Amino acid sequence: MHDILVFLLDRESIDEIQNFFKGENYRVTIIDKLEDAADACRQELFDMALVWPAQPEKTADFITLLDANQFKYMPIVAVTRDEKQMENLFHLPIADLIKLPLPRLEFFYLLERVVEDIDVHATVVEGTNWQGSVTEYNLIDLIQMMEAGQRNETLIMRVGKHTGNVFFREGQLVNASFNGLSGFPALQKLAFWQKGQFQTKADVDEAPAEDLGKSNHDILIDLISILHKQEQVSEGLPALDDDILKNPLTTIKHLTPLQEKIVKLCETSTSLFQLLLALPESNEDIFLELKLLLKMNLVGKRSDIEAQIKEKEDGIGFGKFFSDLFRKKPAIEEGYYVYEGYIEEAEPYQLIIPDLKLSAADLQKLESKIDGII
Amino acid sequence: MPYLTYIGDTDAELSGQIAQKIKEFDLQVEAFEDFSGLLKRSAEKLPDLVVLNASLYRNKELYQQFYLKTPTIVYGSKMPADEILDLYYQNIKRVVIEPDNLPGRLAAVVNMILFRRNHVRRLRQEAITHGSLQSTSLVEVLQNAMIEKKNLILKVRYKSWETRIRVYEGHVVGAESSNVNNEEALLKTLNLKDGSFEIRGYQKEDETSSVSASNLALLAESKFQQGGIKEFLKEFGFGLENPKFKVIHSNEILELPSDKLKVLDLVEEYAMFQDVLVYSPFSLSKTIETLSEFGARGLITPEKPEETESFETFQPQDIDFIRENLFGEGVNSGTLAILGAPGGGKSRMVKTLAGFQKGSIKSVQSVDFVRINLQSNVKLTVFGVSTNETFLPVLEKISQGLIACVLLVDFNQKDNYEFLNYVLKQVVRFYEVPAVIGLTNLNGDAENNIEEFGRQFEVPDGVKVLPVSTDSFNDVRQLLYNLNKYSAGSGEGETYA
Repeated sequence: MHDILVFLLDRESIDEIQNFFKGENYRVTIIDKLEDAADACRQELFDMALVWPAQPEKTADFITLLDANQFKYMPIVAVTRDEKQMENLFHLPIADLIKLPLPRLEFFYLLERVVEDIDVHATVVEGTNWQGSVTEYNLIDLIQMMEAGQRNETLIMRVGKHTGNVFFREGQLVNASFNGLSGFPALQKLAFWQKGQFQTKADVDEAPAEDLGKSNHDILIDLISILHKQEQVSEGLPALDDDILKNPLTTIKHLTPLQEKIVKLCETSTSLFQLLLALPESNEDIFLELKLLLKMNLVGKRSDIEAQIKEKEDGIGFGKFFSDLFRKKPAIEEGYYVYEGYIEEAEPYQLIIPDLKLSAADLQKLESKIDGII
Repeated sequence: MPYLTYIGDTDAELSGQIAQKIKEFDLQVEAFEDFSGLLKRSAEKLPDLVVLNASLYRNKELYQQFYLKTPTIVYGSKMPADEILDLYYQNIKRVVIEPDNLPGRLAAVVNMILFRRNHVRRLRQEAITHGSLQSTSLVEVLQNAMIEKKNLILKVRYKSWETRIRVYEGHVVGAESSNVNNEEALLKTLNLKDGSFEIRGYQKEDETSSVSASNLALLAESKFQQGGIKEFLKEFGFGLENPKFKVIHSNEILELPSDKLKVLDLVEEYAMFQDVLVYSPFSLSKTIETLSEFGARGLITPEKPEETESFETFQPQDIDFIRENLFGEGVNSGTLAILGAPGGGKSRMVKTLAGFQKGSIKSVQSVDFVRINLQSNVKLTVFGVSTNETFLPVLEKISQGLIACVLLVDFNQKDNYEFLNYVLKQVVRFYEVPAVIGLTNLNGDAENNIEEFGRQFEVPDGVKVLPVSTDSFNDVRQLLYNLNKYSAGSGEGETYA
């Protein structure tokens, strides 16, 4: 049974849709407002979304909205009766375009082909058979689940270009590595992740020779208490995804080495999460130093710094000079890493609608009408 | 690397126009005027997609095999609806009936299918947590959800049976499958030993529950039912986990009420015990009760398992040989890939190699996997991989640590030769690992068979061909001892024996 979201663009098509799916092995949710799409996707795990009857602009809006709300993984199938719309629909990043009328059987064959092609299990092999999103399963969850499975495995965690490894022997966590760190410091860093991907691999050959020497239970207790402390220390700091920026209006005097590193990274807009990933120091130390820097107004939330500069700019007309400061570092995108063996995606899809061209006869008609009005 | 598309059309002008349009999407294209040329080239280099004029469609069986390996789009002028449906039935990705702008339309469809097969699938693999039930227990997933008070949607699939479970703040609030719902659907799902799952969190302010039992009660009930299943299997199924049953026809069957007849029909249709449990429209407990009654009345009987085998396994000299010749100095593990067409004996060979460790074999779709402990700290990982359409990405994933490759070829399945020939060439070229061909299902004299095979199969230089019975450890051992590196043009390779 597949779950389908239908974005209905014409209420008159509702009977047609209901007739199509009647008695079939599909669970259909119909929405007719674009603003309901993100909510519908948050509440269900849809296998695909149909736009019915598809129009290029509204389909493009639908795709943009899903992308912006982290539902980029949703395959979109456009259904249309209008041959003229097809060229423009094909320019969109869609999983299929179905032209009606079509025998029902053929329609469902086409949907099945889409389901087959996007099947997450199609290229899965043993050793990478438990993978997914850190949003659902963070390191604390995963340690417990790996222990229950008594597995010899490496847990690989990825976010952007950063990769961490946690090694398990018969379910016991023996070591970890991340950005040049190993052992408990690496684990502390990984435990704080709230987004990214994880994947398990039936292999622990790359594990550092030394063992953490603690039971999973002790490791979990230590991690949880550290996370708790980090949460307390981070109180009052910007949110993890908020952009932080160095304040060009404040003069830097004596800074600790860690403060210097933070200020340097904040020369271009960066998020707190990116700081935690980039710096080898413990998260707690980073939070404490960042708090001091915020207090000294050497760095601040991007919006606050922008406001301060604007104020100054309005006073003395700094103008264009400061606009360069707002150039943002490339953000860590959802989608994160490329699987081994995958080929980089092609250029982003664009909606290309040809320019309106009038025939000479139409132009003449138009001109005579305009003449008439004048 | 751009994706590669092959076009098959007798009209060179038309295929040129199609190629031109496809190239506008930065894809590589090669055109062929007949299907045999296309097949021959496919044996050298497998395309990502094929665009084929329906007029080239002649040999249904040959084409069907090809379509299973390579995503194919077929186009043509007006075609009867049943012919179109027949093509879809044969696994064709898309049938395009000539529109005004055929080349442009085909190029757009090619681009769209490659987009979903590669880009969308990758995004889903990253965003949706997924795995197999053999490696991840659903009980662990539910317990974790309960502790962390998670909102999750779980989709579990076993063959064609699917169930969708909603967990709200750690509690199961709904479970639906095609034949039973709520508690019964969850209990059936918890009983699954095999299958795959997808998980994604969801956000909802409140939720109404159609499941009245608590998670703990459901988990306890599941454990209790599994005890009942074990008892049934002990009494009627030789203690096996998934025995095969057959129906003993008698007049008694005519007197059975319709609900019991349904279960009997399932035994007839599926035979395998786990399949009967899953596809039964009744709860697990009712199905087991009915099967027990059938067993007691002699209406069903289990098929006898094979006699317990005495397993032959790796001897110290075999292990020394593998370590010295295949693993490399100081390396204690490696991966052996056994490739072959579906049903070509690779699963059997994986079992033979695993010997008494065959209990650890795991199968996920077209892949069999086992890690064999040769000695303490010395491990040989064996993958049996079917050469279907997802074969290349699967091989790519297991390529790290790949030490050797065995290609199994069924001597009588000559239609597979070209494709398997392509597979072997790719493997020896890209991975530079020693390889050997194991020829199965021979007719009479092995030497003659190998000679005949050599005339039809382009064996890479240096690679040996050996007859093999995949359930014979000695035959399999001989394959390992005859692994040879491909040596272009030399005629002889480096043998490790």
